[in-house]
Amino acid sequence: MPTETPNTLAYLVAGYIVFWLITFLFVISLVARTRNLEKDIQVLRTLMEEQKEQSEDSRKPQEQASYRPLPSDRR
Amino acid sequence: MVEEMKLASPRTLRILGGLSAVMVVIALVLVFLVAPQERTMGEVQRIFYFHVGAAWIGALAFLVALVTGTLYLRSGKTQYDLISLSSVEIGLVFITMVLITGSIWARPAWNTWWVWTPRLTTATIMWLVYLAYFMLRGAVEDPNRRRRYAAVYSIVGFASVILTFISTSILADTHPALFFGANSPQTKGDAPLAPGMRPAFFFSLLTFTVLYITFLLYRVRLEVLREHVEALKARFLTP
Repeated sequence: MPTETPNTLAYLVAGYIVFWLITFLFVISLVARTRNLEKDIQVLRTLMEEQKEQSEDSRKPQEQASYRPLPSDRR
Repeated sequence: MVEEMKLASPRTLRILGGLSAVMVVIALVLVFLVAPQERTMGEVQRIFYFHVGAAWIGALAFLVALVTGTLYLRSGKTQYDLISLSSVEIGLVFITMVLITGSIWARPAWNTWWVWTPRLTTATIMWLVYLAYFMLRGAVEDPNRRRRYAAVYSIVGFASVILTFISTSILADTHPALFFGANSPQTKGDAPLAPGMRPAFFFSLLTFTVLYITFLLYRVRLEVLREHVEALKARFLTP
């Protein structure tokens, strides 16, 4: 006796929604984490540049202060 | 060590991303328009193609973690640890998908959302084992020790994948043994795939494999960026 095929479309739709939802969440998390890290790299590079400039600036007055005129300079 | 790692170029990543998207569309066409409807379960059986594809990726990802974990223990190269970590994360995402879609499929097929059959029990154990992988990594502060422990764990943890794979062949289960042990007396017997379902099934497996490679390359890139940030922080904080 042939049996009727049940209507299970709603479960199929639910299954594929779950599949796409998890995939999109994973992709979004990958993109967000990558962007955050790229931003971190940018910030750290800027900070390092500033630190370098500051250390160069602080060295300059010291160099000037430690300058002693040579006897030949007085002439 | 990470600096030596050759990363996929942005162009390669874009091509792989595009290829994955196209393959997913073709797979969906095959699943919904080409594959015939199953008589006893109806439309819900079409979950099968992506459900098995995701399970395949889970197993493949954990296998890659096992191999790269072994390579890390042998060579001590950080790049293998990064691949291992990335692969476990992707595997866990896909196994989560498998458990949820399987439960949705079980409701109309078995009249219940969940049954503790050998396959479902071992799959849940596998999911928990790999979830604990991240707890282990989070619990160890020393980077070298963390990498070593994680590598050993990824090797030992693979036993749960083998157990899940053979569970339907050695124990009585409502899951059919599609290939391995399909005719064993413990299983429900042969569950051959109808010829009309084969293109959708095998193409889905191929699609998921390409998707896995794409995700892995993106995920490894992310981990390399993280290592780079850590190196910059260390340099910045060193007086």
